[in-house]
Amino acid sequence: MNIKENVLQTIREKHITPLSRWKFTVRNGLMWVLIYTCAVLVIILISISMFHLGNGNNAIFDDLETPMTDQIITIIPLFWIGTTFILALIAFLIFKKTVGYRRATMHFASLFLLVATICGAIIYITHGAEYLERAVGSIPYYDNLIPTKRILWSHEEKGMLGGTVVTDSTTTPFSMRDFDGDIWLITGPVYEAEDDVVIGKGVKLGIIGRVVQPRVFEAIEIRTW
Amino acid sequence: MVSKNDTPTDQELVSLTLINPEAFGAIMKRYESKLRRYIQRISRFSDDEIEIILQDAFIKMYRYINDYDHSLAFSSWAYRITHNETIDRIRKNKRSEYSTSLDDDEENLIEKIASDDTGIAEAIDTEIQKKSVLKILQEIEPKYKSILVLRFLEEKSYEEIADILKKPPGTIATLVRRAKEKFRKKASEADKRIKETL
Repeated sequence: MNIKENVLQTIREKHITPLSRWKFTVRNGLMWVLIYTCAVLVIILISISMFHLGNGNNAIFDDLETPMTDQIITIIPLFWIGTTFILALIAFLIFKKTVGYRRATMHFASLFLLVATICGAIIYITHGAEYLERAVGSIPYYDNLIPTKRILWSHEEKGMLGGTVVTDSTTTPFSMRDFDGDIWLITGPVYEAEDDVVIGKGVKLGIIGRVVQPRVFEAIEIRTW
Repeated sequence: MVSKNDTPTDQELVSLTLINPEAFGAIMKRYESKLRRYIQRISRFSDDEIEIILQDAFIKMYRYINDYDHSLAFSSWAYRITHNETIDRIRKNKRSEYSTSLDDDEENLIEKIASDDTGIAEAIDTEIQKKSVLKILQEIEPKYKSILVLRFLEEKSYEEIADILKKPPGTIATLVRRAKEKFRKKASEADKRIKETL
């Protein structure tokens, strides 16, 4: 018996049938969903990275007399840059291994990164990155992943105190837990605050001021986290 | 459904197969010898082993026929599945070589590569090398061997090889160039060895 007959006989005997078209349609659809999701996330992450790089921490660092090398290490949002890189790499490899091999993949990747950077910049310029940063900030353990602010706002001796409000107060005085777990009483009848600052239980804040007594901090300016 | 000259195209046979599995027989008849020869060239398995690989490849083609992308040549898709089946078998068996005789095309491999790269013709004595083609091919890494076989023995275009190996055409061009360099180097070494023994 020749191969043709063997194969046809096997197909008949084992009742082999072609796999349904919808299985491949779903698989291909999922692949594109994954690629688009990665693309959207890359754009978001680029905007958040820009936000971290350009949110005015440099001036505060200067006030804290932080050495330039420490400033750079602290400011660079390594977590977001790393995550962006990994997601972009995943999207690139999926594309290259599936349909991308027939196209100029490197040109496509370069163009994609250019467009993603432009979109990310637009989101950052229009303050969208700030909202995104706050949104991801509510993710548990996020602060552990992004130590930049924690480091920056853990200098109470130099007038920088950050943490989470633990009382129901909407104005001073209120209690706040810092990143080391210590509870501070925040005082200061007259303080400046950003327009969108909302003080309330569970809200994270960054406070500029001075230590007036042990675990008592007088606020001069209150910033959103 | 069938083209004007009464010989159905591959695409038409694929569509017919989805209606009647017996139509797949025509696809197998059309590709059996080509794919058998391809497996033989890249693996040097025994005839029995080649038969098993080919059967597995055809059954896989049948099962996955709905996954066939009609923007590709069917032959590229068939070669891709066969190539992957063969490579899988080589990996499982940890051996890829089996001594067979050369066919006419393989004997002419050097001329074929030389016509694509005059440097090879200058580097080696073609007549002597004819006898060493099989040995030279056996010494070349599998990925370069596949490239040489597809380009110069199966006479596939860069685009077809790209579709078979799922690599960008630019990468294929680079691999072809490297494969030729490797072949030239091995051929040149073999040439020296043979001349020394004469």
